[in-house]
Amino acid sequence: MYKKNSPVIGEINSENATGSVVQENERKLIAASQQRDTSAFKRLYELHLGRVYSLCLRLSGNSAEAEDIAQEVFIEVWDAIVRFKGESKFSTWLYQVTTNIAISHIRKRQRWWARFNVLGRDDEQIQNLDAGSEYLTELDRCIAELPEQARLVFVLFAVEGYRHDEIGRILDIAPGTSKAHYARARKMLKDKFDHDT
Amino acid sequence: MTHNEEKKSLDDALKNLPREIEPEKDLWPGIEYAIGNNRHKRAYGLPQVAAVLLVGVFALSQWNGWVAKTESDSKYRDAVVEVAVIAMEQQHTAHKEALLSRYKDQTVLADDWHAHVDALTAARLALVEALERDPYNPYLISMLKRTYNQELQLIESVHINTPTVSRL
Repeated sequence: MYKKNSPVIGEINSENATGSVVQENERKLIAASQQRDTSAFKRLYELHLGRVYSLCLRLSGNSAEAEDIAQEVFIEVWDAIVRFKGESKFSTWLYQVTTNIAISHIRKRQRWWARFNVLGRDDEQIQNLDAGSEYLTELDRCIAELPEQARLVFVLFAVEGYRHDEIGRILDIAPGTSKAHYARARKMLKDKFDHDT
Repeated sequence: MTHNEEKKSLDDALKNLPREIEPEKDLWPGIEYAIGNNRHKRAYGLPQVAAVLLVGVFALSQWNGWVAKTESDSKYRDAVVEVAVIAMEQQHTAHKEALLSRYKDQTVLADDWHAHVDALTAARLALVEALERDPYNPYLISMLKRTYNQELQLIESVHINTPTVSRL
């Protein structure tokens, strides 16, 4: 379901009017988490869950898989947060971790299904088993129905704002291939989206 | 619709995509469980070790009455998980048998599909065994549910003209 007013964010927003104070609060939560304070880490989780989960959901196209990936992200972050030095924004670092874990998770799933290629199913048919979830917008549903590589590139470029050379490094493909996947995704989305709406 | 209108329609929808979506399930208990079990990775200092030893000595002194109650509570919780897993297994077996019965006369796309189903069944049984040893592990339960779905999807995928399996 879409997050409107998280109680945690609402609390911070009402207590602290400026973004810098919110960031200061986040820095305190990060420092406490680095000291292994699970209640502080839970607050960080509550603050960022909506963004992390939406990224996992759009990359995987499957809510059950997105839940698994989001859990894995926060478990990895709990271990890695001691090494977070604050050189970039926490959210930027967190979403990069999320992207890497989601891509790795999706690749593992692809390898698993590759064992059954003899059955004549390809990845494009297997993915997105719940693209019809009632919580997805029409565009999200169309994105979820894109072929895997086209969907990953489209989400990273158009939704998350990565450049094609960055996407190339993340997905281990050439920047030109990323552009080609994006063009294909965009054309398919125009066809699907404008037909459905 | 003109090309420009189509482009605008998609771009507008992109701009209006919600930045945050909440999962339907509460993910925190699984995370809390996992990070709680990772605590052994910490480097403990002498004060922590001394504190643990003290607590250990105290716990040992309380051992007799304490053990009896803990064992009784633990056995009850284990039994609840065991009953839940048995119910899930029974539901899955019934679903699988119904599918196999429905498709018994239909053409299959691959001859060796039984071997794949057997591999998934073996994985499922290994997960059930693991759950007996570690009944509160949410990942094992999640993997078990996924294995159920994969087994059913596999049976459907090898048969022609099949409907979609509803997820657990």
